[in-house]
Amino acid sequence: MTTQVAEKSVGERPPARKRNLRKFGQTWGPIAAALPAVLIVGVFLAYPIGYGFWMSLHEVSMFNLSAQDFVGFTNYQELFADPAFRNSLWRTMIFVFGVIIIGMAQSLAFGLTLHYLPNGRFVRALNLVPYFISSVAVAMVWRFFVQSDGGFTSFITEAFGQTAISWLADGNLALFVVTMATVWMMAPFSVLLILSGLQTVNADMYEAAQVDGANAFQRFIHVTLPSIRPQIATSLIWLTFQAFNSFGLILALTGGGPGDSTELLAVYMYALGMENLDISGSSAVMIIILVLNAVFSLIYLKLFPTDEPEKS
Amino acid sequence: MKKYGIWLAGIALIVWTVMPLLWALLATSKDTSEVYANNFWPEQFSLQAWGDLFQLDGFWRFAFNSLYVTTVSTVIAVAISIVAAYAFARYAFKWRHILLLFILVPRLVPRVALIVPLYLMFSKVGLIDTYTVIIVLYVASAVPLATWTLIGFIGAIPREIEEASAIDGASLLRRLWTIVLPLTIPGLVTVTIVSFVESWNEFPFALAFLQDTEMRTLPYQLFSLESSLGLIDWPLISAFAIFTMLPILVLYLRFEKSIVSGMTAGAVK
Repeated sequence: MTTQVAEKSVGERPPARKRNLRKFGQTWGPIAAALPAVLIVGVFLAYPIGYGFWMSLHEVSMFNLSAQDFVGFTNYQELFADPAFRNSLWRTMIFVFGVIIIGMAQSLAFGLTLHYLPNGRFVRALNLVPYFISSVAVAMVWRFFVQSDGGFTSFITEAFGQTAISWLADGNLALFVVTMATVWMMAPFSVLLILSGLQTVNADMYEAAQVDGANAFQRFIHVTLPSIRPQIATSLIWLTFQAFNSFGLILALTGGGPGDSTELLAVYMYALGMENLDISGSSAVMIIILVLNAVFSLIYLKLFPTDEPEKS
Repeated sequence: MKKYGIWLAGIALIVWTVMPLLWALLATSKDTSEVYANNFWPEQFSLQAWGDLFQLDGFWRFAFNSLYVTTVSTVIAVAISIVAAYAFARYAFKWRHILLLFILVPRLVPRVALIVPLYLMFSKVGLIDTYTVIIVLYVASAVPLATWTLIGFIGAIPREIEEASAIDGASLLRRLWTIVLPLTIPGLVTVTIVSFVESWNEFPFALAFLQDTEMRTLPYQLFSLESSLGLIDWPLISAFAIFTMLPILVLYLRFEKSIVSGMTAGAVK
């Protein structure tokens, strides 16, 4: 009963007899009601972004906050001249692509699984469990899971008579573990998105394709995938966003190590600002992360245009 | 053949999802030294880890901190959001669109990114290391999604019901209380739980803005635990990690349906 009326409620001019709903005050009443939400978001989420951008263009010292010289893009130039930053950026890119590819593969595979699994209600509920666990708990569980003594991975390797691998002692392996743990935690949500897309695909189209002699794989490529484009785009945006901003999980799983092999951008930004007290540099990294998020989202929306009209 | 395929895929999903958690759960029933022995099942079933956990220095204090900041911030966030959502859903007021975007866009910004500017803001007013900072930040983080979701739910209530009671002379507050709130309960459940989960699990803000050990929340303490233990006590850490998941899992399994539908609706928009 609830959904059918949704479209009508907002934006239409009500006929005269309906106007007594508006007694509350045409403009100021609703604005006053929205104000607490707008204010708290404005002060604590929007303003810091602006403040961060401003600091990235100035030389700000933690110890003398009043001495702030405008330096233009010097902070950005310094970052890109710094091998540590370039290394972090490069490894972040590898990580993000890893999360996207593995995460998308998982989303499609498990999305289809949940769609076709008979009596899948329990599995569907189970799928989302990792998403509700705090990043620190996920990190601890995974750290233990891949321990060279006592971990599940070593249990398996020793069962096959091999020596256990120290996953977190090698830079590239550690990056792989961080990737898998991020996918484990974040992909369940995109599985859910893909599943919700699959449930809206018109069954007639499969039948038509089948009549035309398309096999299961062809039906998937030519019918399923084009029909769930919006969900694929949303999933990609979701995975990218989570990967770029992965912080707690990495900090608790590897601490950025070994060496700096998993010190990805968010961790790098935190260390630069809160430990090295380079506020301006850290703010510049923050802006770079925001720009990267935005650029990736725009690319996806361009690659997977959604025909659906925007809902408000 | 096809039928077995789908079952295999289902089993793969279950194993992939459950295995890391199951491994941690099994560790909590093992002895600290047995963890290193590469047994799957514990040889000697022990609940030592849970006993250690509950006697851990300050454990209940951290649990209280988590529960306190999470509950308070969730209540405030939901209250602010429902009022705002009602205005956005029911009134075509001036700047409605701009304000709506203004509430939504910051949701696209990662919270970690805000730490440094926020730290400077709060240290200027001397609020570092207080519950206030954490609560305010959790409220601010929860409001965008909660408002957005509730707008959908309130918008779906037929206007006519409210009008009928307005004609009968019911005031706005009365209509809100007797009509809008009861009909929005599924939405309220969703946003309350989603906000609760986010605050309960939050880590970067707690790490950055809480300094005194007394103030730590559970995820923060879990993070600090291994460095203070010397030799890593995996059964204890696993028990701690599982303990932090429990309240959320109970809530999730109880309200799974409404959470899932609320979340997917929010994401696609």
